[in-house]
Amino acid sequence: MHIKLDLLQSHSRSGKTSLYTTFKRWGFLSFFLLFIVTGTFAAYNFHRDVTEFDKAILLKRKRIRNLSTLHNKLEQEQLELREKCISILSLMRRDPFHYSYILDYLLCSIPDSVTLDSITFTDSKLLLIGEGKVDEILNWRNDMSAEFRYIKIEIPYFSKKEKMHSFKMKFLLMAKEEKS
Amino acid sequence: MFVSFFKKKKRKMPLSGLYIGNNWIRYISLGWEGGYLAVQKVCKKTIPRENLLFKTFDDWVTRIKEIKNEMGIPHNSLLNCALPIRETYFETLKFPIMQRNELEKSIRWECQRRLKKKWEDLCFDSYCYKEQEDSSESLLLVALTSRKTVSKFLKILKRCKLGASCLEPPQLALLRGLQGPYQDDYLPLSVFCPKGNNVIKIYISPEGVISSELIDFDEEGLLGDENPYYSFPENPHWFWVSHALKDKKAILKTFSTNMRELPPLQNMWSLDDKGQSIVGYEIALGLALRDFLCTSN
Repeated sequence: MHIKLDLLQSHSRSGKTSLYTTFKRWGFLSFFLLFIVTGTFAAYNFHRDVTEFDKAILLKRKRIRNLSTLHNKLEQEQLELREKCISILSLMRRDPFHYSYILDYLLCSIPDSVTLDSITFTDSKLLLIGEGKVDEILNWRNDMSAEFRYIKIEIPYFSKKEKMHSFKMKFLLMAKEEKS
Repeated sequence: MFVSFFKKKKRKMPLSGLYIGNNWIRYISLGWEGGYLAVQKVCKKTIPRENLLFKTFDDWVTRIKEIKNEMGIPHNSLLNCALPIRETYFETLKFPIMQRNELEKSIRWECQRRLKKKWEDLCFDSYCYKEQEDSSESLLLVALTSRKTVSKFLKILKRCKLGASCLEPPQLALLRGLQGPYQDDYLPLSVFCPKGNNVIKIYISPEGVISSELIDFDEEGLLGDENPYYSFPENPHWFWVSHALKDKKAILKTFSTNMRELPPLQNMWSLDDKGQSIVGYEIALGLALRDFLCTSN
């Protein structure tokens, strides 16, 4: 018989071209699964990145808040310190036992007859030793008493020495109760 | 020398056939002895009892391995193979003359319609008869089988370290064996094969056109009052594939008594059968003779 048929050729031929059939059967499913897997992975990564980003933002905000708190605190401290300094300075200016002021006043108001031998400073008192005319000394003391009302001025030593009198003048800071 | 060294080794075409029948697996191997064709080896094994073909993979592998070992078939040999007749659709279809693309589509549609399966699930081969000049239709011999069955069969063969050189429709192999070496000696020819309670009639016209038909049949004869197959004055030769005498008598009773039964195959082919009966090996013999003309030249 001259007719020859072979079913195997069709099998092997379609086996080579069955890629389309295979794709048709499994392609959609595999692509869908691939999409699901990659999509899940991307969503997970995105979520993770967003969470980390949020955390970083919160941390930065916290740091900024801390810094601002610190800044305010420092500003407050600076203000307080400044006020303290101002108050100290003003207090010092208003202090009746402020030596420089006293000395300025002494030098300005010292009578002509009076000569000072020594000026001694301690924490709470100022001692002047010198000589001069009695009435000028006393007037000088009265003027200073009027000027420095919170300073008690005493003359513990007063003696005549020819025409002039030698003296010791003590400036004492009065207690607060006495001030008020 | 270099040419012969690089020349691709041509594989020797096999003169052996392996037929997976309804109840038996049959193997036949032919060879040349003293200028005559001789049956070298014949073997048959029962198939594993199962409803679906190749359902129990290991059992099938065992059976075919047994045949391979008993027959001494070397590894990676190629065999001409065929699946059971009931698994293979074989018919000559008529189509109006049309363009090639349209004809292909028509064949696909017709095959899918007849077998009620998708085209992708089928293995297909066809032969187009020569058209006569005044003919308005083209005749196409079509063979179809399930792709799944073929795949399973090839897997089994691969496991047995064997190969299939072809997978021929068994009907065609049967006709080749029955037509004899000179092809038109016994034309027209009718072949009757049992298929369940029915009979398949394969017919070759004097022009060589093959047709296959299913006939309702029982022991009393053809069923029905009016039947076109009742007389075959143009069918002088016939062959009954099954060797049940009762059915043979029924066929003779039913069909024309003028029909002449074909001579035994070994006589027809002048085969030296070496005392081995080749009754029942018609299809396997046809498979083995597939490349007979090529090898004899």
